[in-house]
Amino acid sequence: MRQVFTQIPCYAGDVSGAASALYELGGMVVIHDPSGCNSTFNTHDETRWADRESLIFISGLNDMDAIVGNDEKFVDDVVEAAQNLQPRFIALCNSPIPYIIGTDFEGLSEMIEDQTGVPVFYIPTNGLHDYVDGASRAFEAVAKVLVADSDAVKRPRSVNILGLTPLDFDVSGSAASLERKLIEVGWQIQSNWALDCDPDQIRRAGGAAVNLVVSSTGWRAAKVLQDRFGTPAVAGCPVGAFSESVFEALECSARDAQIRLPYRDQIQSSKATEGQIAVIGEAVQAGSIAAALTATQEKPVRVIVPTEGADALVPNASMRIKGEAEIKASLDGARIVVADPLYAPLAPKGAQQIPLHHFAFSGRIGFNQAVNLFDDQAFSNLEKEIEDGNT
Amino acid sequence: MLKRVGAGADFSKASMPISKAQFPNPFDAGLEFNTPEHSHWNIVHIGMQLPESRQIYICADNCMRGVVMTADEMDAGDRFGMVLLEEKDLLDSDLTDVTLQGIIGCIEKWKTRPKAVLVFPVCLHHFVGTDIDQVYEVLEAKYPDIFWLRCWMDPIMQKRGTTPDERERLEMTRPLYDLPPDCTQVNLIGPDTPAGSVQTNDFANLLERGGIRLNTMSACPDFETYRKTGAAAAEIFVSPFAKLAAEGLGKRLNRPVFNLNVGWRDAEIDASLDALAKDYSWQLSEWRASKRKAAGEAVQFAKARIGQMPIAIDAVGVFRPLSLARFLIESDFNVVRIYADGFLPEEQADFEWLQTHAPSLVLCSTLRPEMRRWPNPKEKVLAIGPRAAWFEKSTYFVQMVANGGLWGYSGQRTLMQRMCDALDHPKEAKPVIAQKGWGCTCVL
Repeated sequence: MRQVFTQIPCYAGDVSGAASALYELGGMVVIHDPSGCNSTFNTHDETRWADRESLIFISGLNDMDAIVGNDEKFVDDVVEAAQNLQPRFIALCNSPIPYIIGTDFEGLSEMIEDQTGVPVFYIPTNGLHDYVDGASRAFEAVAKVLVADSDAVKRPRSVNILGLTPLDFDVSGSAASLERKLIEVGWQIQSNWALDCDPDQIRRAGGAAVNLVVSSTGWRAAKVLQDRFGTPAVAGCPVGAFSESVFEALECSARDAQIRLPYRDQIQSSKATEGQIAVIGEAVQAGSIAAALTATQEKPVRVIVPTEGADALVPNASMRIKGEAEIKASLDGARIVVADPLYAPLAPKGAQQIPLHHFAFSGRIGFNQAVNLFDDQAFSNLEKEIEDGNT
Repeated sequence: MLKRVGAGADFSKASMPISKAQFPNPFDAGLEFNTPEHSHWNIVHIGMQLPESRQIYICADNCMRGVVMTADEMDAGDRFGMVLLEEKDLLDSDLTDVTLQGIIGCIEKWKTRPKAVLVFPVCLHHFVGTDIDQVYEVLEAKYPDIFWLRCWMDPIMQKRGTTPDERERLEMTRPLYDLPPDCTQVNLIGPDTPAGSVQTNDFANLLERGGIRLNTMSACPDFETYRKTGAAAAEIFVSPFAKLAAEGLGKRLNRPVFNLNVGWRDAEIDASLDALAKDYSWQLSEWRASKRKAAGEAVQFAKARIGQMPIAIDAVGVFRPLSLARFLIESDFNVVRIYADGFLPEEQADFEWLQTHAPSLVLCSTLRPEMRRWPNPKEKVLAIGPRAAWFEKSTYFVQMVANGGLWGYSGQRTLMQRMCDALDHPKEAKPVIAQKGWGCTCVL
C-alpha cells in the first residue's frame, strides 16, 4: 500500500505551506481546524515564529459546530480578531473536517469581508496535500488579490523572486544571498515572495520584467502574473555552475516573453534516470542542484521529486515519485544520494549519503547542518563533498 | 526579542484582574493562538512510555506531520507507522478497509513484531463513519500476539468530553494483568507525570520508607514487566488528566485508588498524606514535622533572596496555578500574573480566596488571538513554567511541566530552591521552551 510509511516522515502539509507563504505579508491567516494545525506549523514547519510576529490562528472547531453547521461562530470570531488586530488581509484555510462536510468558504469570505472591510480570500487547502500545494495556492491568491493593477508599468531589468519560503530555503540569509547574486548581474529586485520581504513591493509586482521561480511553490503565482501582466517566468535556482544558465534564461525571457525551465533542459539531455548520483527534493530546487552537478561532474544526475506541484516543473515525469517503496526503488543503483538525512533508511546499501537538510521534511532536526544554496562557497563545499564521494 | 509588525491590540478580553473574572473559564472562546512554547507532553510522548510498543496513525498529511515529527524528535521514528489518507480514501473508498489495510501494511513492513500497538484513528473516522470495531476484530484475529490499544487522535471531540490523551492513558492501563494484590507495590498512573525522586516528592519518600515499590510505566524494561504491575495493591495518580485511567484500572482490578492532590498548601498535602497513611496504618507525625520544617526554612530563604520581585505562573508548569499563587501570596511573595485559559474544578476555593485577598492579580489567556501582541513587561519577572517565561520574555524561569515531579512539602522546598536557582542562573528561554515533551528524549 503506497500510503503506508514506517521509515520516513511526511512533508509539511498544505496548511503549513499556505501559512509559510503568507507569513510576512501583514495579513491574518485563519485555519478552520479543531486543534493541532497551528502547533504543528509553528513547531515543525516555521523558523520565524518565535522571532517575528505573524497573525496565524486556528478556529478551534468542535464536533457540534461542525455537525450543525454553525458557521456564525467562525465568522464572528474572525471578525472580532480582525477588528482588534487590523490585518492587511484575511486568508481562510480549509482542513479535513470542513472539507469533508463541504463548508462554503467562498461565502464565508464574502461575509467576513462585508463586516470588516478587509480583503478576504480563501486558500483551498484541505490538509490532505503537502506544503507545495498549499504554498503555491497561497501565492496564487496573492497574485490575484494583493498585486495592484495600477503598478503594471514594466520596470526594465527588474525581477520578482517567486517561491521563497523557509520550508525550502531554511538558512537565515538565503534570501539576501539570492538577491545579491541577481543584483550582481544587473537585475533589480522588484519583489520577493516572500522571505525577508517587503509586502509593499509585492503589491507592485506587476511591474517586473520577468519572474524567477525558485521553487514549485511560486509556479501558480507566475502563471497568474503572466496572465495579468504578461510577465514571463524562468524556473530555476541560480546555484553553482547552473547560475549562468539561469541568468541567461532571465535575459532571454525578458526579451522574448517566453517561459524557460533551463534545469529541465539540461537534465533531460543527460540520461538522467541512469545517473549514479541521485538528488531527492522539491522539483525546481533539486533540478537546479542536479543541473549544477551535471555541469561540473559531467555525469548524469537523477532527480527524484516526492513533493507535489506542477508536472511541467519535474525534469522527467518518471521522476515524480510518491510512497516509501517507490522512492526506495527509484534509488536503486545510486552510489551517492544527496537528500535530507531522514531519507537515509531508503538509500541503497553502501551508497554515500550527502546530507542536504530540507526544512519541509525534517523540520528542526539537523537544522544547524542546513546549507545556504545561494552562497557560492557553501554550494561549492557541497559539490566538493559529492565529488569526493564520486571518485 | 519578537519583531512586531502590528500596532498593538485591545487586551480587555484576554487579561483581567481576578476580581472581575469568572470561574472556571474567564475568557471567551475565539480564534486560537499557539505560543512558541511546546514543553508539554502530547499523545506521542505519552504512548512512547509503553515498553516495546509502537504507534500507528491513520490521518491526513497536515495532522500526521505533528505526530511523526514528535516521534522523530524523540529519536523514536522506528516505533512509528503511518497511513497517509488521500481524497480518494474519503470520497471513493471504504475508510474502514483503508484503515485496516494500512495498519496491516505497517505491521508487515516492520522487520520485527511489536508487543503492543497503539492505533490512532482521527476526527475523519468519526465523520466518514468508519467501523472501527471491525478493524480491531480483524487485527486481533490476525495478530493475536500483539496487544492492540484503541486510542484516538480526534481533537474535534475534546472540548465537550474526554481528551485523546485522557483516553490514551486509560487504554494504556488495559494490558495490566489481573493478578492477586501484592501489598509491596503501588502503581503511579499517568506516564507523563514525572514521579520525581524521594528528595522532591513526599509520597515517593513515604512509600520508600514503608518498603513499598512505586511502579511507573517508563521504569519497566519490557512490556511483560509492565503487564505484571497489575499486581500492585493500589493505584495512585497525581495528574488530574490521569483520573479516568486510575479509576478505570482501580475498578477493573478492584483496587483502591488514591488521588494525591496537587494543591500546594499544607492542608491539601496533609489530606492526601493522611489518606495514604491510613490505608497502610503508618504514623506520620514526626516524619511530617521534619518535612514541613524543611519546607518552611526553604520558603524563608527564598523570600529573602527573591523579595518582592514579580512572579508569573502558568498552567503548563503546574496543574493548579491558583493553588500555587495562593500558597506563594500567603508566604508573602509578589505573584502578579497567571497564564491559564481555564481552571480545574478543585481550584474554586483558591479562586475565591484570591478574589478577596489578591484582587489585582491578573489572569491572562494564552490562546486568545490578541495574545500574539502581548507587550513585554516593564520589569523583570520570575516565571514558574515555560509559557509564563515566553509571555514575560523572562530569562529568570523555572522550567517544568506537570508539576515536574514535585509533590508535598518536599515539592514546596524544591520549588523554592528552583526559584532561587532561576534567579541566580538566568537562561535564554527559546531553546529550552521550544523543546517538545520536556523530560523526554530529544535529538534537537
